[in-house]
Amino acid sequence: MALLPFLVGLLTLALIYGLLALALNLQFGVTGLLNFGHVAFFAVGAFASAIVTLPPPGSAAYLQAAAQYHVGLGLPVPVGFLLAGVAGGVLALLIGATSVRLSSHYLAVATFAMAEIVRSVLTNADWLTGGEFGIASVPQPLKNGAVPASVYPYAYLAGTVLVVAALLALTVRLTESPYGRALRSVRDDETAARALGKPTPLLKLGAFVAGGVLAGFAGSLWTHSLGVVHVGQFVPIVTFEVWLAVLMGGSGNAFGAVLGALVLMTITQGTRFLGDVPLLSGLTRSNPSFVPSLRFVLIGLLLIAVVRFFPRGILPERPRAPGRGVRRGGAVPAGGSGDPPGHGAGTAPAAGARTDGGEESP
Amino acid sequence: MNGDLRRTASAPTPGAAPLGPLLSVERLRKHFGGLMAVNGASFGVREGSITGLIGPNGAGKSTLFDLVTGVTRPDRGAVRFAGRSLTGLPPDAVARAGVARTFQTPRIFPAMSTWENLLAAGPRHPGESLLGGLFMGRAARRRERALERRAAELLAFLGLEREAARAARELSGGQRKLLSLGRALMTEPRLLMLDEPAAGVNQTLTRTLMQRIRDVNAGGVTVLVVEHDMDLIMQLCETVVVMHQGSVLAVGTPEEVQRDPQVLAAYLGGAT
Amino acid sequence: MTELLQTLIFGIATGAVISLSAVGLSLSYGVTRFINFSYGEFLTLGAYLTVLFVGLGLPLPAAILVGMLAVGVTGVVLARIFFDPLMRRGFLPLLVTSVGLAFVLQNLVRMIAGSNPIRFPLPLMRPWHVGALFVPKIPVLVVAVALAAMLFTHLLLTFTRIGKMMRATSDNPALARASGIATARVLAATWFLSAAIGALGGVLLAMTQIALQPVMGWSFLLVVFAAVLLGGIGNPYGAMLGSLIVGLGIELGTSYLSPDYGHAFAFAILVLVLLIRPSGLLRGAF
Repeated sequence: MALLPFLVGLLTLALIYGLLALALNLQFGVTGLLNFGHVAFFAVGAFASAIVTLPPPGSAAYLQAAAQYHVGLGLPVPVGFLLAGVAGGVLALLIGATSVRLSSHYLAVATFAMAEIVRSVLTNADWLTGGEFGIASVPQPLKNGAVPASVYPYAYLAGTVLVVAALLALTVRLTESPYGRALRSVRDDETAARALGKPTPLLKLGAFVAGGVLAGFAGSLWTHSLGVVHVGQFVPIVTFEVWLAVLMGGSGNAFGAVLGALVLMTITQGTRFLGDVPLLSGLTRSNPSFVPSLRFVLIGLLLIAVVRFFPRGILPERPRAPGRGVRRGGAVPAGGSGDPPGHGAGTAPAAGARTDGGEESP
Repeated sequence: MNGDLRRTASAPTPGAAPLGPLLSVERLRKHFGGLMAVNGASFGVREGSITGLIGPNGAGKSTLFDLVTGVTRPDRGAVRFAGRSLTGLPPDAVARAGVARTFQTPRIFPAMSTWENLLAAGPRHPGESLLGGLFMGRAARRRERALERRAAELLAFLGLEREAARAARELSGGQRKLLSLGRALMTEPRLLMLDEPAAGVNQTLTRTLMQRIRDVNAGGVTVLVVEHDMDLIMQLCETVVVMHQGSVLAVGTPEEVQRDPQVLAAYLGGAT
Repeated sequence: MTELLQTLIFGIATGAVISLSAVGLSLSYGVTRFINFSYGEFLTLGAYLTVLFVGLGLPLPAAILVGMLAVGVTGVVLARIFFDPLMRRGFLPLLVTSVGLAFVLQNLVRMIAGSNPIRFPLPLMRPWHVGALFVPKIPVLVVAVALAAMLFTHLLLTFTRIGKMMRATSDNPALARASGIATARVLAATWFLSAAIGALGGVLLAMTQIALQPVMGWSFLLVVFAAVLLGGIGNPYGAMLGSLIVGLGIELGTSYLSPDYGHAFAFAILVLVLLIRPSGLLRGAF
């Protein structure tokens, strides 16, 4: 049944979008950065991973594929994966170092403009990227020999699930950590966070770069899944599809981001079959852009609708309550260190006193 | 040098003989467009005191706050705190030096719970770096527990225990004022700068706030408060600085300042 | 020498188109205070509708005017449906909505008219002879029309009652709302004017580029942003100066440096401005 491998491939792509959404969620949902250029990190990650893993020109595999690209390093795919993250992170560092201090509107415009510049550069550096034609022989791990072709999509899906799950776990850990709390304070009110001593420019840059690294990883998973990399895959609408995923799933919630991507993929791939509907097939034949354009109209309408009617998303972010060890009555927690009881209004915790009952405070 | 003998960084002794102001503002000047908002203002805040900063609208009090806390850079003049210069430092550096401030309209973190608002304010946390947060070593976990204990104390001190799990955006105006006071205290400041803490607040809460401010001061924190509520100023402050048209008009006890003819003229008479 | 002259003339023409579009964008920004990412679609719609009306038999000037009218009305309707309900919710919903709207409009055009470039129905015009030089007529016409439109707008905003109300609303939307100046009529008039100017801008753009594509407005939008930011948001004269610089920059860069990087020059200017001097070259009313 040819449908199953197709669905498996689709699920793989959905998870990759999930990773992109996870990255954008860290930048926007958690830290409040308006990144309208997300696709650029995806793109450099994909190209970095492809170029680094392509068989070198002149090698047997190159000749066998009748390839025409000029740069390939022939390194193993895991190396490509790691370098993709580095590439995404470095680009984010370059863009972020100059832009994160811009206020929201301007950050949106600047990131959008820089993504377009990146796309322009990638298109024109055709010695590296294959320009208008792309590169079609990106290695797909395990495909030659170790894993039979029939099992391959399932194997790749399994690998993708593992990678995305691991990165999701790391991201959640980060978001729930004091670092994540600091990022959220920047999002909620940067002036107040700064007045409390948080180094907000640095925090923003860190989140931006972390998002870039994750998006770079997504690029690597993408290109090795498809086996092709082409600059036309990285158009601005990709950025906004990821935005839709984050907003639908629940901005600020890492699980929401991944879920939103799955929902998005279901919707956009579901419309793929519209061209087969008898009513529309006449239109489709006269205008081949019809169905893809319809999909984009749908994405635009969804963006508008979600923002207007469903802004909190499927899995909204919830405020975090006090955890174990601190009781709501304000009493001294179990294992208390000899601090004065918290009851009663008269006892002010001395501002200058040690807060940790004698333990060393770093 | 006098300064070395005084105290350790975090435990000033209340009641010890002052050896120079904790905060000193020296000939600060700031203009916006054509307007001279602060024009050669100078004064000092004694350590351990509750000092009031008053003046008619447009006197430059808010701008002065912004100049001290690094929100705006002065055109001229200097800000010194505990022996070091704060002039031109960004707001987060000023805060880390031990100066905490609240805002006239409380700036809480709306999507975060009351509890998290307090925790977020905790200073010097190894878990607040990207790698620190990811790995959460022993020092970070210890700091987190210490901050949790302090946050619990502050919740009780401020009477906000029942709101701990609620998103801060759901708090009433008065509760937000208390929360922002709590957050400022979490930073363990030496100087607490309060920008109109009683503005828009009912009588009962004002009394509560005043008592809390006294308690905080009793614990060793120096307080500088901008207020329009004269009762609050008279009852709380041992020293009052009066600003007018960007510079300091008078400094003295509340009674002295109340009787000062220049002050009276500024408030009642011809000026702006 | 002729090549340089040609490039300069086209640069000035491009600058004029940017300038006109920037005026329209500023009008929209003044009222809503957010950067409207769907503004470029007014350009696209203006150009395509003009082609449609010419195809239906109207002479070119009439087709342009009808197109401007149609897009102006569309602008008001879209604002009422999509932007007005969100005005109190902060700029992020508006920003994202405008992006969504841009995708919808652009792709509706693509669905109906296809992706293939369409030729703008310009009558063939032979260049003027000025001494030994050939001066192409189209760019000069473009500059003339753009200047006339900007002059008309200036007169409208300065001397008519509704124009003054529009300006007041644009200068200080909150105050205008509070004092009752910003009536629904004034807002509608502002949207109408902003969209109609955009439509004319699109027509002029099509005249300089010859070919229409559904993406034309969207691609041009960043170029307009660059010009407005270069000149300083809120400063119409700054926007004109910025537009001229960007227009010349694009044409000179394309001719003498590399044809492949086209709009990227404008984007680079935009980025540089944002980083070095976000307030623009001339201090605006901001």
